[in-house]
Amino acid sequence: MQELVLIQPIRAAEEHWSREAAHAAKRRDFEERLAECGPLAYRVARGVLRNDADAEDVAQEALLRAYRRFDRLRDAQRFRGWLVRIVFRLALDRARSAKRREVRETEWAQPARRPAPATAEELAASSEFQARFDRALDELPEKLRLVLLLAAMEGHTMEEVAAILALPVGTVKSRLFAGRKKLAEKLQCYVTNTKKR
Amino acid sequence: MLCDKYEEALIGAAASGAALDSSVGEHVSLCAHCQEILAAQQSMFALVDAGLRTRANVAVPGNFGHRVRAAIQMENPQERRRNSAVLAFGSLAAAAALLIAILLAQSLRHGGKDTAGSVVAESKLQGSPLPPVHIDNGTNLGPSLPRTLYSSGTVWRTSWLREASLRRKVEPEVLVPQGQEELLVKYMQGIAARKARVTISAGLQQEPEMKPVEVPSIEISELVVTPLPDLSSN
Repeated sequence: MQELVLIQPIRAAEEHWSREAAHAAKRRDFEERLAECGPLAYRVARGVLRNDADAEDVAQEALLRAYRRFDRLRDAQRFRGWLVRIVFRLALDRARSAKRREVRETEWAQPARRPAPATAEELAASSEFQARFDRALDELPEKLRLVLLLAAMEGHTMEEVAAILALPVGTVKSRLFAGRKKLAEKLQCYVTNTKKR
Repeated sequence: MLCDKYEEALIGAAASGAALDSSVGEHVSLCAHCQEILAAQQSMFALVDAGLRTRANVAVPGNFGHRVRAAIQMENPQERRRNSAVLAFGSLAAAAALLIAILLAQSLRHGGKDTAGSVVAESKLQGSPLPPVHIDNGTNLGPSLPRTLYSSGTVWRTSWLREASLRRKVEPEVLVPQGQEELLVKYMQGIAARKARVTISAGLQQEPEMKPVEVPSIEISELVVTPLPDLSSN
């Protein structure tokens, strides 16, 4: 026997309609933000993960989460910062779980076997340096790492980074200074190498 | 060894790009070793910045935006399904609550004893979570709905019952086969949409000024009855 349910059709239709309209408005609003902040999400994920496919997955997941919780965001101005934090957290989780599985790259451990690059730019672009640099960056505290990545992205001023992270500009500056200094300390062997050259 | 005390200042200057203090600057201009350290640190920070730029400014894949949009599009039906599941659960819970309220009211009506202004009834189920219930005979909200319920000093105003009853009074409820509620809702939307179009188009037309219809007076002439010629005589 088929079960019957009691409904008030007009009210249900109105509710359905208003839900649809709210969905459409939310989607429109979110798509505007997606065009603006999608690349930022991808770059933050890529900066942490160093892998295109993983970065795409994580950025997409973060954007979907942001979409689901978009209604709960009270201040729309904070969307960028909110999204960056979601992406960064997700990327760190992914990186941690990947680290457990990953077979360590040993390329960076044998710099002497590779031909020495001539200039600092060439050195920065070399895979050997990149591997070492990535490792050094991954070892930095999270708060320093995020500031370094955001500040290094094109078009981001200190003020913008401060606005994204909802931090005072002074804090951003000090974190940036501390982060770069720590990186430099970790890569000190390259200074010695370039100095000798 | 003498130069060690300048090392921190040299690193700081290289990191920030700021000018050296006058005393440190004086020393560096005279000390080849410190000049070498400063140059090395500067190249180190240039290297760090270059590395950071390389890592932070990767090209975003061209299809990334489309991919996310597609994922969002996929998300909507799932979300709607989730919402309708919540709605279904909510309706079920509301129906159950209503049924309990009606049953309770009926059991009170039959089992309670009448007083001058009110009816006091003890819950018949011993040890049941339902407390003793007091029913005021005030405004009539329906055939069997109580207005006030209280137990051991706590009073619950049953305004939700009143609102529900009012809502029910405003719009009739319809029995629909389970799973076909959405179809009915869509049908109602269609009707409502048509109605809205009619209203808009009617509203757009200027309403003509209403004047009484002028009908010229009718003259009724006298009826002349002429007998038909007798055709049978021919």
